[in-house]
Amino acid sequence: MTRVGQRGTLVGRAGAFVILLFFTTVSLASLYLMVTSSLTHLGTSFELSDLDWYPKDWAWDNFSGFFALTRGAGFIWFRNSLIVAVVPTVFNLFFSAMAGYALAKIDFPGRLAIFWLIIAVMAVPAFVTLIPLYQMMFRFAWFDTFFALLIPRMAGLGAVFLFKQFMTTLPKDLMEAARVDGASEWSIFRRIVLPMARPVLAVMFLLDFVAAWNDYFWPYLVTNSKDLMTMQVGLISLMGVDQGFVLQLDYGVVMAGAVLASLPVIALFIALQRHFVRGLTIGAVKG
Amino acid sequence: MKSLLVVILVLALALSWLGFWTVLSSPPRVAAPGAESAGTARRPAHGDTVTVWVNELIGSPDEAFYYELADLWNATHERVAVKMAVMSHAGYLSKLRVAIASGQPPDVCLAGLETLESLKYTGKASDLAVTISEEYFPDERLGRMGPVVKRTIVRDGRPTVFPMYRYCYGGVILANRAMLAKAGYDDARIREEGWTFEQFRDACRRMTRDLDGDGAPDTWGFGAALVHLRHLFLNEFGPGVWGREVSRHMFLYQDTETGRWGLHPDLTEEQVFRVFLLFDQLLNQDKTWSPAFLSMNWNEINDELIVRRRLGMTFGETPWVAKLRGDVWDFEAARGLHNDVSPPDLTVIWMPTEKPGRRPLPRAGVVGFSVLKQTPYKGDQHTENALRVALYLTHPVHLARSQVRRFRHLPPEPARFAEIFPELLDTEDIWIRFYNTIMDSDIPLVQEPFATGDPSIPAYMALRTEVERWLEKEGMGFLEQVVYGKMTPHQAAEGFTQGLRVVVAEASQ
Repeated sequence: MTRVGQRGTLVGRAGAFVILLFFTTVSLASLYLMVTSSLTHLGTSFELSDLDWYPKDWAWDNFSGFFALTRGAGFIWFRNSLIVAVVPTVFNLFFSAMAGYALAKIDFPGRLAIFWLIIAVMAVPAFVTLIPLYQMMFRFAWFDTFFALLIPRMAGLGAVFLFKQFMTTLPKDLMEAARVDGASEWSIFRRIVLPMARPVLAVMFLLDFVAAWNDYFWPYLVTNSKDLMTMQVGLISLMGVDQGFVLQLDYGVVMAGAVLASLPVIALFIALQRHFVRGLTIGAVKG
Repeated sequence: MKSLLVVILVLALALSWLGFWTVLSSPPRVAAPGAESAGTARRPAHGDTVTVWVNELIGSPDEAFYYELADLWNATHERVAVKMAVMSHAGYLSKLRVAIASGQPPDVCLAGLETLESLKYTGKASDLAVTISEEYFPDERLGRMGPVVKRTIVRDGRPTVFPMYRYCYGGVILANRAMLAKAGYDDARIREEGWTFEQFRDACRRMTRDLDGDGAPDTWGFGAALVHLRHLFLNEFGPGVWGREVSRHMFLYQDTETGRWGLHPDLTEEQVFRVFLLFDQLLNQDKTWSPAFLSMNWNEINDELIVRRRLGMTFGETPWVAKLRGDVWDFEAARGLHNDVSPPDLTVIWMPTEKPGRRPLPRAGVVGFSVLKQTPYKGDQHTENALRVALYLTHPVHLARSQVRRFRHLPPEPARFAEIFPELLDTEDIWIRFYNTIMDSDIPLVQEPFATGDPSIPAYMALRTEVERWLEKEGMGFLEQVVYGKMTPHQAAEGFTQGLRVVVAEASQ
């Protein structure tokens, strides 16, 4: 490579580094400010100028205050969010992995048509299906029940696509050898395919979990009972202005709730970070 | 194969468990003392259930109040149960819109009819709010509520809302009476006669003062937030220039011959310029409206007026705002928060108009409970039950415990209310009297209601929705450019008028 070419590459890398550093700083700064605010008594009138780079009074009582403010409902919100995030995600991975395996490795009539149908349906915006889904919840009598929160998320086309793309890259010889040894399709799937699909399982679990954990509108839409509130719905219910008068709550307490709400996602990301980068490139693999 | 069976079994068990849990969360139960109730106590096993949606601050006293009301109903009515759902303000209208569009709105919901009609048309629903018969809402009662209430809730000759409280948003200025007097203006006279843009600007200039001699103003004549710009433009300063008729239907006009809706022929670019000019004069020429107020929220601006006393006048709402602030001040003073400062001397006056004698357009109306129909229709008996529940929720005794007490909202029937609760409502109070001036007048409303039988309503609502979308996305951008000195009023008026013409022309085709 010429010296000019090297210099161009270096400039390009430096530019990319600066851009990445900027976005990383912005992302981390907002998280950091959330944490410092959760350790500060912000009062009821919260302004941007109240934010500080260090906790002013180390108000650990904001965390107990959060549960006191919600009269214990904070625990229920947390539990509900966990259920709503974990249960459908596990089911979605299970169903999607099976579908992806079938589409990638099993020959059957209409396989390609099904795959392209999946791709086509993925192009339909989620909000287009909102009203029909809402109506279905009523017809099935699932409105204001856990079913409305869980069942619609139990299968996702995006995950099917990713699993199919990943499984296409697996050598067919492995499956053939297992079949020769007398293994059933279920055994091949469980003993050979699933262990090899660990990176894509990890990344899909993370993405699906985060999407479900952070979802606000659907849980708000299909539930009314306080017993079914998720963390996001609960947190937002604490905010708001009524006729210009803010509910008498300390914003530091709400920030403490926000910190608690973000902990599972952060913990999960740290736990699955190893698989994350590899998993993200799965969709880019030519199938 | 064995593993597959195990997985299927586990799935089945998990779903059954969830089903069991879900069923557990909905059966009748009596709330423990001090605990939140779901409004389901003593629900009859085979009765009709009326669902009620209310938007309220979660954790507020009113949230508990609504659940208590539901429990009281359920404890005293064997055949009809109330299932109360109090939900937060955030997302409430979106939720209601989806529910309406899917044909599954709640049986009874808290909202203004203006909101419901807007949701109805954007949600593509029809035949929504049930009209209330004489049995549940006598004409005599309606007559006592005044013309504004009547016009905002009557459709096809019958009311469609059980009023909870009356409101008035905008149209008035909340002012520091002492500062106003020092500037040479008498609040009582302005309430009586109104005032002009020039008088208003003059008052603002006199109130904007450098008290410490450092060359920078310490008090400002007028201040409003960015969120108020739209209202000030469309409903206050705007109608003060182009008149009420142009504003009545959001710049739209129905050709009486063809029945088609289009842009109001009386609206001119010159008029839009004059309104933009007033904003420019206050913010950029006279500098009597500090740009700092634009980035404040409603509470901060009120603090500037009431606590810090750096602001002479601001965008006002109904007199209850000032009354409530007075209460808050007393409360804070009792806690030693305002030792050396006298209590705020606030007053309410009209917004100015370009020419004397005109009146601005407040967004006045009623918030209350409406009974809605579902698809498929649940039957007349169910509707009757829902009407009874809505009537129950708006009984004066119940109103006294909720909004009126907390916020000093005015109840829909002040005379009757004052009779029952004289300690809560003094009808001779100067604020109440001014408020009643608005409510008892023939003042035009921001969104003039229609009779539901008018076949042109869907076309109007569709066109109006497009105009509102355009205003949100582009139209108000011109005003913001003027406010921040990035565009002259002339340029902005030209852009605004052209854009409005295009959007109306395209949408009405």
